[in-house]
Order: sequence, then C-alpha cells, then structure tokens
Amino acid sequence: MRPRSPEPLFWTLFGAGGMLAALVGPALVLILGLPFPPGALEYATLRGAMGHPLVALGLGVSVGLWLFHAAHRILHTLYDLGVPHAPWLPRVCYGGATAGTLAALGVTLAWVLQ
Amino acid sequence: MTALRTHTRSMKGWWRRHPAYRQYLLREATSVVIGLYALCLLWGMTALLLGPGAHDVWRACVQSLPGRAFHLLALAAFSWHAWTWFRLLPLTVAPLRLGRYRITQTLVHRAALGAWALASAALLVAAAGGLR
Amino acid sequence: MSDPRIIVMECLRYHPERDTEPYHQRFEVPFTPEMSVLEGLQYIKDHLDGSLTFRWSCRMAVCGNCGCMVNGEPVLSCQTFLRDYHPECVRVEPLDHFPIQRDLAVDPADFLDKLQQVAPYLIPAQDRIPEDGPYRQTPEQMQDYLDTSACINCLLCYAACPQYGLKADFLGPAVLALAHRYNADSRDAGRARRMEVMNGDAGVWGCTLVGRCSEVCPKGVDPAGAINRNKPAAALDTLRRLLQSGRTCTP
Repeated sequence: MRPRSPEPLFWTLFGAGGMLAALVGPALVLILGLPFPPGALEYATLRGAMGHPLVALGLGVSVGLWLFHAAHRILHTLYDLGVPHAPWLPRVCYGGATAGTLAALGVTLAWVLQ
Repeated sequence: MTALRTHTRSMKGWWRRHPAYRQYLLREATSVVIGLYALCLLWGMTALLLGPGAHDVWRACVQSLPGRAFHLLALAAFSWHAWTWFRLLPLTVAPLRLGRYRITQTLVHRAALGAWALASAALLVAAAGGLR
Repeated sequence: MSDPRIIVMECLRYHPERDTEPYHQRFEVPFTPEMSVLEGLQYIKDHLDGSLTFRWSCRMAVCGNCGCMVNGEPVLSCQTFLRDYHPECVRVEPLDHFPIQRDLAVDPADFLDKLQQVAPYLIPAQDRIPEDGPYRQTPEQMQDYLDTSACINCLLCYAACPQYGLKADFLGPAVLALAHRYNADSRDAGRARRMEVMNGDAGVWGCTLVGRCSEVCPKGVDPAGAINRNKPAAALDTLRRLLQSGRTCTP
C-alpha cells in the first residue's frame, strides 16, 4: 500500500537534526564563537582537526540534518503564521535543505579522501 | 430540519491569544538561526578546504562584530532549542517498563539533560586537547 | 454572613436568527464565595436574561458539557470559581476553534465525526462470546492506557490547539489520544486499522507539539504525549510500507 504522506520521512530527518543540534550545538557554537581554545580558528589547527575523518563526517552530517530540521520547522511555522498551503512551498524548503545537504556531503567526501 | 447558521471565528493573530503560543513560536524560530548556522559551518568547511586565503575571509567574518553578534544569537538559539527539545523529548518516547519498574517521563528528561551535559563536556575537552 | 458581592460577567452573545456578528453583553451578578462561573451563568439565565444559551449537565466535572473560554482560558465552568476573578470582570466565551451555534454553545459535530474515524472501542483479535469468560488484563497492562481513558470529551484541548483551528481536517488532541488509548490496551488488536487514519497529515502529523492541550485538560490526560508517542511508530509504519511496496511516495 502507498504511504499517505511524505511527512514521516521529513519528520524523522527533523527529529534527528533536532536531537543533534540539542546535544552538540551549544558547545560547538562556544568553541567556534569564543573561540575555545583561543587559537581554535587558526588555519593549521582547524586543518589538523578536519583531517580526522570522524570530525569531517560529524560536521557534514550535522550541517545536512540541521538544514532539514530548519526546513521542516520553518515550513510549518509559515503555515502557522497563515501562509497558504501551496505545492511550491515545501519544494523550496526541502529542496533547499537537500541541495545544502548534497553540498555538505560533497565537501565532507573531499575532506575524508584527503 | 433546516441547517443552523453558525458563526466561525477567524484565526487571524491567534498567537496574541496566549503567552504559551508566543513561546511556541519562539521555540520554532530557533530553527531559522540553526539553519543559518549550518550554512555558516558549510561555508567554513568549504573555505578551509580551498586554502588559507579563503579560510582567512571566513575567519575574519566570524570574528567581525556582526559575526560575533551572530554567534551570540546562535548560542542563545541552540541553548533554548536544547532546553525545550529535552523538555518535550519524554513525550515522544514510548513508555518503557523494566519488569515492574516503570521508566517515568521525569527520568527520561533527566537522562536527556545528563546526555547533553556529557556530550558538551566531551566536545569541549576534545577541543581543548585537539585544537591547541 | 456578609451581603453577596457583585461581579461583572461579560458574555459573548450570538443568536443566528437575529445577529450577523457576535457581541459581548455585561451582566452584574451577585455572588458568594462558593459560586462557580456556571452558577453565575445560571443566575443570569434565571434573573437577568432568560435567552442566554449555554450547555451544562452534571456540575461536577464529569459530563464535559460546560466547557467555555473564561478570560481566554479553556475551562470547565463548573469548577472555575467567580471568587478567583473578583474584582476583575469575567469574560465568558464559547470554546475557541468551534463554530458558534448560539451564545456560549458551540457545534461539536466535527469532533464527533472525527471520533468515529479512529474506531474508539476495543477491536479484539478474536471475537468472544460470554461463555469464553472475560478479557483478562494485569494491573501493569491497565496502567498503559488508564491515563488516557479519563477523557470526558469536553473539547477543552481542541480550544487550546491552534493546529485544530488552522487545519480543518486535523483530527485533534482528544480523538488522537483516544485512538492511542485503545492502541495501548492489551485486549485490543485494532492498531493497524487505526494506523490508516493516524499516519496521515490529518492524523499525528498535523500536530506540531504546541503542548497546550495537555496543560488545559481537566482530567490529567496528556494528549500531546499520546500523539507524539505515536509519531515514531507511524514513521516506522511508513518505512515498512515503502520497503514492502518498493514504490516512492508522492508529496
């Protein structure tokens, strides 16, 4: 039987992104924003960190899932604010998230292969 | 029987009716900042890949006054997101039972907050060790 | 005993044969400390304006008939007391998000129609006759659904749910909580049938977890929890269907 709605798939991505954003988001913003430790944003330091495949993979996955998290919430908030349901609206939201995720995966792949 | 004429009220400006609705919209609005932060990270990852020149541009932007203000906003948004996320998490977890012992919503909430603290500490320690 | 104090009750009025738009009418009601908002309305009907229309039955928070908005909060008017509002005025309006039939009475037809869609009754795996004896259940199994079974269909959660007001086809908090109540019952085997309705945009996916439904419930039911506990199950159901059919879904 056909699924009645694609919503469960987007909700799963939204949930995964939300969970990841809640667990590591604040700490990551602290590290890059302060920065912590003070030399964290140096070119050599960051290149060294990204050389570890897990760091590159973690960041790539985070970027993709956070984009889907944002796309899902923004779409539903627009509906909540009274924006009429139109087929192009979810296409723009989830299409944008898909494009950003593909770009993030591409960059991640380049890092991992280096 | 003739159909009764009824009056349907408008939903216009429904969030003005209760503070809880505005808190809900604030919670949803954190996603805009989270999305923008993901793009900032994507830009940083790409710039770092391209070389020192591109990375310097990204770093200058991050450390500029607007960049710092954005990071402050991002910290607030991520923190508020995390706080509300873990508060609502027990609602999505099916009730668990270990024999006669029931895992309560409070327990799930506390475990989630603990996991948040643990993950944050691990990340900061790793940064302190690996990024120096 | 001191003289009864006076409180101003501002009621929404709407008589479809007479009014094009609802309006508010002020009544000065003498009240004593034990008087509920419902008793204030009854005073108005008996002494000030016999045409004021509102529903009530049990006066003890069991029947779920007397729900209305009091100063913007969905409450049962029988367990809301005038003394808590004095000296401010009390604004009494029909439950939000429902069509107004007359004054404080709303049309619940949409809710009743949606309630039927989720088959809110036990669907046993095998039919039994009285000779088979009763369905047996342990106290632990009963705990799985007992909270949600306290629902009295008072519709306060619908008046607290902006998604129900925004989306005409959304099944809403109480209907989905009751569907969960039967799904969670060990004697029931109707989960797959209810999933047809629950796993849809009008079902659990219509909920964005505003969470007010659980705050206003007078019976301690947690509709927000009942709905959202079904989201992972519904997502798994979709995944299973995708794998079985091998077809992609169309938005």
